[in-house]
Amino acid sequence: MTVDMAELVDRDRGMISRRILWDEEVYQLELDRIYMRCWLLLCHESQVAQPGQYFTTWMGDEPIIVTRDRDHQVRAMINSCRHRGNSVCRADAGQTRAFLCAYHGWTYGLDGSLIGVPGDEERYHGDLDRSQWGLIRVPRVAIYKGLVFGTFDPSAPSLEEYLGQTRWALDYFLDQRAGGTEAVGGVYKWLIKSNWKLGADNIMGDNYHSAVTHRSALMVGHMTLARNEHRNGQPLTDAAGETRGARRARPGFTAPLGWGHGFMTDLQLAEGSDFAEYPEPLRSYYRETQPEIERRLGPVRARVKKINLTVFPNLCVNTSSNTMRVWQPRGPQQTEVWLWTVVDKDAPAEVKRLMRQAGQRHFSPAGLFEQDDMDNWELATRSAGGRVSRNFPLHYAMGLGHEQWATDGVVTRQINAINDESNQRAYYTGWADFMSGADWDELRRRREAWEGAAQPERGVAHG
Amino acid sequence: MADLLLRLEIEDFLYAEAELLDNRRYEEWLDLFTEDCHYWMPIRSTRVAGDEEHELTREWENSYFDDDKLTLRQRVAKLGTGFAWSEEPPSRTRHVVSNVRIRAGASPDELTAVCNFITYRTRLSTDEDVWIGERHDTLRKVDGRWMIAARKIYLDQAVLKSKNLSSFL
Repeated sequence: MTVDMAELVDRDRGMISRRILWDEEVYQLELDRIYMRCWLLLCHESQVAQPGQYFTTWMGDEPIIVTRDRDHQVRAMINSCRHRGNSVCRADAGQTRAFLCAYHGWTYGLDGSLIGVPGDEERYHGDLDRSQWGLIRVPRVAIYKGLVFGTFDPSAPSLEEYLGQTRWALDYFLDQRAGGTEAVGGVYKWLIKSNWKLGADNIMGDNYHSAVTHRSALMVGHMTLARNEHRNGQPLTDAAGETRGARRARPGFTAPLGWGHGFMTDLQLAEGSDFAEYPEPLRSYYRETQPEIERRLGPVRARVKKINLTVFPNLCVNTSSNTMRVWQPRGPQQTEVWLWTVVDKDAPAEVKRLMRQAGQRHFSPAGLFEQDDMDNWELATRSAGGRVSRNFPLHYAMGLGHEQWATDGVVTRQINAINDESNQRAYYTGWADFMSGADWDELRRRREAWEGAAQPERGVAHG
Repeated sequence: MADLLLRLEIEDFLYAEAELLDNRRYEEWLDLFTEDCHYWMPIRSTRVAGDEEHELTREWENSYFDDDKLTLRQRVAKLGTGFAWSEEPPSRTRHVVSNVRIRAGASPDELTAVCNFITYRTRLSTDEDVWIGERHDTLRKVDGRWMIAARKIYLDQAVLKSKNLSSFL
């Protein structure tokens, strides 16, 4: 069987083959053409803040160690001894001076260089050129406003170019305040029997599912249930309809971008108005930091209520719960979800606590929203490979042909936004572009064509 | 002898609590918690020996559960909506509690019950989860009956091998 992209992603009709959810051949090609080439999130810089701190993660099917070297550089290398391949680091995170392989004792420095070999003289007779046998390095590591990324592709564009217009959304997440952000201690990690793409396409554009999938959570307390003191300590059970009505009327837009990126945002109805439902002191914090956001990011982002973002292929951000996550692929039908909470470094402790709880109570494995997504994706993955079902594509055509592009130069976006699937179509269009094996120049042309066709006055202005 | 009787009394309390959960009698289960309760489950990560202090997240860090009575009530209310899809159809659970150890509490009417737990969940046709760990319950005597004032749940897994945590532990 060969893989024909046009057959898998019919971008003109918004039809996606279910084969991309179960086929091992497609999955192996994803590892080759997406995970070996794209910039992938490794960790938050605060997790390797001090020299000697390390954090272990994944880039596709490669186990990775991220370190802060003694010269304060962030490094990343493959967690596999060059002698017999054993892992040289077995912990999730920690502090060390070197990595000792537990098999024969080859020892590597924080930059991955081979610094110790037992029996160097008497067994290898001095023949071993240590400079050639360091850990395999991730050739490029770069940091964007606190987020550490790596790519295996030496010819990949700069991280800034790769992120492109997602920076409009990332800056809202990472750069509201001068002090920047930090990761709260503890990364949630859990295993789901779902293809890794389903969650990524959901977060960036699927407003449609909330009213049904998350109906029970909406009925007992909206996004701000961290502490609903104005509800007299009782769960909300009857006002959910009003809340959903208000959401439908909310202004906002979607940004279906090139290279599979995209985000959607809700804007506040009027300045400061939507913070009323937040608990104190979070409510005051959001109101008080609004002028700083406006100074730093401009008037449009000062009006943002929340942004849901996917940076292709597998990084997602949900600003209203202060979370970001990576969908670590574990085969076509299994994914390990990693979830971080990211807060303003300079926020007061009590504000940080409420931000952390917003993530935990909504989008962690026990979160009232997160709980209900998982069966949907697992069951969609399970049925995708059926001998009959596999011949019937999935419908991603909502709003196709009805897009209304904004022309004010803020960011490539469309304004009828919230009620279509243009972001998901952008995701799978980007997926097909990478999967076709196109080189970066060709990918640049396709991105230009996609974002240019979307909006004549393209380019990111300071909006 | 008094120690033995106290342990039996506490074990009976924990078994009765497990029965309420396994029979989905969540409102009655909620009534076992004091109004000022704290229900907390930190995240475990793999750390080298000597770095035990970072193995479990601390109170100011991320956690699977960080609930008070209000948010526990919200969780129970959610289960009762008829639209809580993670529990619709409902999971089957079996809470097994053992190795109960009684420790003195902060005041005469409180004690800490430490136990090992195994909670088995199966749902739909073949889904299975097994959650194993240690629990530290602060129990308080209120009007002659034991209530749960605090629960700390220490799961053994570092990567949660479950799609979600829609059950109480």
